[in-house]
Amino acid sequence: MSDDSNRTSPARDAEAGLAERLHGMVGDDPVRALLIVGLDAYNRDARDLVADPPQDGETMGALGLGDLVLDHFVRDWINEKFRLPNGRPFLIRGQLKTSHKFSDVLAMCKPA
Amino acid sequence: MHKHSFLVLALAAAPGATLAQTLTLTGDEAPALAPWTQPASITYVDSSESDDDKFAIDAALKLERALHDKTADTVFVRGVAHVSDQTKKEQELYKLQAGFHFERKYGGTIDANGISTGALSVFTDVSVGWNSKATFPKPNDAACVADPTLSACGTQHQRSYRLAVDVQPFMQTWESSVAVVQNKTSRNFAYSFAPRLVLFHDEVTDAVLNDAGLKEDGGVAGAILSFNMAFSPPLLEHRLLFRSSVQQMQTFHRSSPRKPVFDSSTSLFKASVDYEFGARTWEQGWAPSIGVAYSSGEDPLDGRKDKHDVTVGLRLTYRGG
Repeated sequence: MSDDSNRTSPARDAEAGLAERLHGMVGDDPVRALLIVGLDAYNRDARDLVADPPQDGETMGALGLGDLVLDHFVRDWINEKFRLPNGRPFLIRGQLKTSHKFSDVLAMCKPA
Repeated sequence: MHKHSFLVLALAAAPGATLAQTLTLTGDEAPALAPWTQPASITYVDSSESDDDKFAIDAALKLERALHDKTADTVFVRGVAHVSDQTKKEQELYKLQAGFHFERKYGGTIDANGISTGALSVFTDVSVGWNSKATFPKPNDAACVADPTLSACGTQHQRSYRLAVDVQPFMQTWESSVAVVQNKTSRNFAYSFAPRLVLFHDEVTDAVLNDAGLKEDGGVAGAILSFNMAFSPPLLEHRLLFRSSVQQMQTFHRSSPRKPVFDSSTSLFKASVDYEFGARTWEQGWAPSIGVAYSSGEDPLDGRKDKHDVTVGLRLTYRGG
């Protein structure tokens, strides 16, 4: 297992304005920044996505997110945080998969 | 008993356009795609015991649709087929199910960005189903050695309806997916596991005859507790993938006619190990592997008798986008 003891907690990062810092790092795209913060929190022991942001072509699996974490937690977070405010239909089970690229998931989070 | 076989497997899931909907193909009636879920398969067995070509099909097709735009709760229908004409593995089982799926979370904390930590996520499927399973005659059955043979000596079909509540809990710590999926060069171990609880009532509508010519009708109610897991350690340049499930069934009620063919307590163990020498089976597209699958035990709900099976094969798995 990778050692994540040096990583700061997602909650503390968020409160410290991590999304704002990422906002500057990844261009003028707050949705992308917030999605990175969320994926980084849910991939637990895998890559630090804040220090090493995902590329558009990388899959959820490559970012360390498995089938069940995606289906039980990430999908629910995306529904509440992005799709509900955007008036888009909620994602149902099986619609968020390890084979989805980061750009696919980002598109799920943006207005239709 | 070892048999050499070639397996062609397929998985597919296609999201819908407007109201969220999915179409999912798997090898069994698992509620959702999981690391231990067997893909749908068409199996050809080149058996040393028989000159006949033998085929088997295991498939479950589920169509699911959101109740409305602002919920992830769904309604679903599912068709299941397990058909085999393999020697000593003859099976003909069909199911149709319709039901509702609910998602809830309990406990944990939510931070300023809405990110959940430490919660228990629970998926619940409530369904009603129709089942048909064949009972095949054995040459040594009493009904077949009688002279003249009895009507019970023949292929019979039992049909029943089934009510089920299927509960699937999950916590984030139950899956360490780093390197499970794609990072072939990683030396990390990876795992994923979850329990599952099913409460059921099965009521026969068309009964089969036993050796004494009596109908095996009535109802059975009980619970099935299963523990499923996948585990993936690295080996040489690629990865091994272990999948296993342990299932324990305990009945609360059995009608008298079904007691002789439906034990009050049964267990079933399934395990497989595959060496994935190409793309990973969780990647999109085709993935080759070679492996062994083993199963032991019985499942009277599906008509599986107590037996041991071993299949050695080259597996070609497809996963859709």
